[in-house]
Amino acid sequence: MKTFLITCVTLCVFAGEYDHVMNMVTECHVEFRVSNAGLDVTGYFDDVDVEINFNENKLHESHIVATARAESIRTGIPLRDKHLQRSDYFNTDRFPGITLTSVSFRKTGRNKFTSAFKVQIKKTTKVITIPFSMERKGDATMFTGRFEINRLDFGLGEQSLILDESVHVTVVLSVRKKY
Amino acid sequence: MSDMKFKSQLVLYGLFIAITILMAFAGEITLPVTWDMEEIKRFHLPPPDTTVEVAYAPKAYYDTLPEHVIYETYPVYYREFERPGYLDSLRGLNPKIAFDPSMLKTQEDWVKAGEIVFNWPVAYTPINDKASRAVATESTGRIPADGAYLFNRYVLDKERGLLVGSLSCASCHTQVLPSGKTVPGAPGNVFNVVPFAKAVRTGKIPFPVLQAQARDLNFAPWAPPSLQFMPLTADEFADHLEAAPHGVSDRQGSAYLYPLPIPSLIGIKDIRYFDRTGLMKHENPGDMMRYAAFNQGMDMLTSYDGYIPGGKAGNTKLPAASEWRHAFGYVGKKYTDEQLYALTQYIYSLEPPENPNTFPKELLAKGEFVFKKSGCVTCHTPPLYTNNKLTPVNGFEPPPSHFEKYDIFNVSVETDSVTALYSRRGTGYYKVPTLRNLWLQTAFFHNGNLSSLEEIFDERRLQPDYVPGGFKPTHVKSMAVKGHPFGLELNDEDKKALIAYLRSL
Repeated sequence: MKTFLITCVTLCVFAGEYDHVMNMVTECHVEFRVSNAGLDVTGYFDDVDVEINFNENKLHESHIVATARAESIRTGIPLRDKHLQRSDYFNTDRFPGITLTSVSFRKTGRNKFTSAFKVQIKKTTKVITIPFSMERKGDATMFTGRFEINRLDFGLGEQSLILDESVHVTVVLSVRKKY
Repeated sequence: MSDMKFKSQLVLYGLFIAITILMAFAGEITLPVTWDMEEIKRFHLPPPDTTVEVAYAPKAYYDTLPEHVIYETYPVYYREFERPGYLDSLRGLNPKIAFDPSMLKTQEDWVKAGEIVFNWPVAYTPINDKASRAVATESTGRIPADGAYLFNRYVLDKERGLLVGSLSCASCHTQVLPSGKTVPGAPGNVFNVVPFAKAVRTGKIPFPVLQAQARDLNFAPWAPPSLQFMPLTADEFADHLEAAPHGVSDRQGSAYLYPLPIPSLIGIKDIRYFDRTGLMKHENPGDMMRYAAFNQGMDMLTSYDGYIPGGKAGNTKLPAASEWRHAFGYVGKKYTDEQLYALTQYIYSLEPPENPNTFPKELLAKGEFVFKKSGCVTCHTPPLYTNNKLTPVNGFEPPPSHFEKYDIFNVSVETDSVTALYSRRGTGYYKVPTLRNLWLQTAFFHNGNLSSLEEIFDERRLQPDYVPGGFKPTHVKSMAVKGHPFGLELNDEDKKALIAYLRSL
């Protein structure tokens, strides 16, 4: 058997549009990477729901809530995905969603931001700082954020000789104006 | 106090100190107690049906059971290899005790004594023949270079004369390589099933006796009534015996028609659970001693909801010590704690033979990469090539308390679950097997249905029209061998590399 653990959290989101309060998410990729026996295992969440109210000029009024359905984790090995849903990992029977809720935003440069997010996985909630960038392409705006979590902080698996504790997460989100 | 009295007390005190120091330097061993009820309850996993009440034979009863006295034993040779007059020359010898715990001083002594225990047969049949009954040309067992039939050994008995002994540890845990070299501890391939199957088929062993014995061996009170637990005809059983390939064994506590692969004992010191189903924990030599005691008959005296497989009065009462019979019908005897401890030390000392397989470095490097990339490494983690955990089977959900007591890798790999759920060895789990010395193994999956690594990675095995290369019940023409789907999707090149890597471990 080969299953591993992976983990991750997902957080999709960060959306934005300066002038428009409402945004329509057209694309959201939440991918993760963790080292196992010296090789990278990659995966993603197939089902992520995002609610956005992001205004670059009104950051204090902006908010983002993202929910990933934990059962939708995909790593390329179905039995591994099944294991990740069990009680020693995401325990999806009891905790179906992974949620990310914005707490605050800060502009750090041209098209660059930092946000504090409450990340809830199973019974644990932690505030994590996530830097992200924004790029405009036509009427679409793309946001890209990267961050890292320690899977053990969230009760995802146990200490392992081969599976790293750090999980690297990348979120790519495409948003269009909604008139 | 008089001077004299004081001096004599001083001398006694000095002697006590000297003896204590001498004993310390002599490396006195504190032997574990085999039948320690608290330890038994700790190390034994419960059946998957948690309503079943298990009661082990009481210590007071265990202490009354007769013990083995271990004598010198002598090789049995196939007739073609036996020197003329060999059996009569043995009859001319006097029985000589081979295991004497008072002679065991060093670790090396214990290991050597353990080898004697390992080879000590526990079932005996008197013979008056002039030549060996084992015939090489009719044997299904592999024959070593010296022509020995390693399943049996001769024993001399003062009253009964020359006996053919069988069912030692070595009987099932000895492998002969294609080169003719003998490997103690490796999954066995020496048993010649022909005489036994013939005796069953011809009625030499009365079928009702055999059937009753099969019931005792295989019946689990919590198994569904639809699960067959004994043969219905002599021919059916003979066919079953003949269908079982080397590397699997029908043993007490397994489910009928679900034989178990014989594990390698080489390196077992590092393995945390015994049995395919992780039936018993292995945390110290005492646990291995207990495992051996159970498997030499005490498991037949365990009560499952009042059903005692080796019990009398309709399997409800423990037999008197003199009535005790082993699982396979012969007179029951237990090993002493010294014998069992020596056995553990010998088994712990076993080393693998040199792996004769050679592969190009590039192929092995690629195979290792595939091994990691395909996720094999998570369960079959180096250096033991197992994570030493138990995986629940389909149909069993580990109770919360198990996560505190046992090492659980909490996902089923969806292999057949009958052995884990409905046999007396069942726990609801299968142990993640080690892949070390995999090249010595010829029976794969929990009932030995597959006979090669190529079969494991062949997706055709998932189909009902598949004819497995390993064990297949004789009443079916084909069967799907499901579960453990890892590696099935690999391309031919990656499979070849992975298999080479696995054979190199």
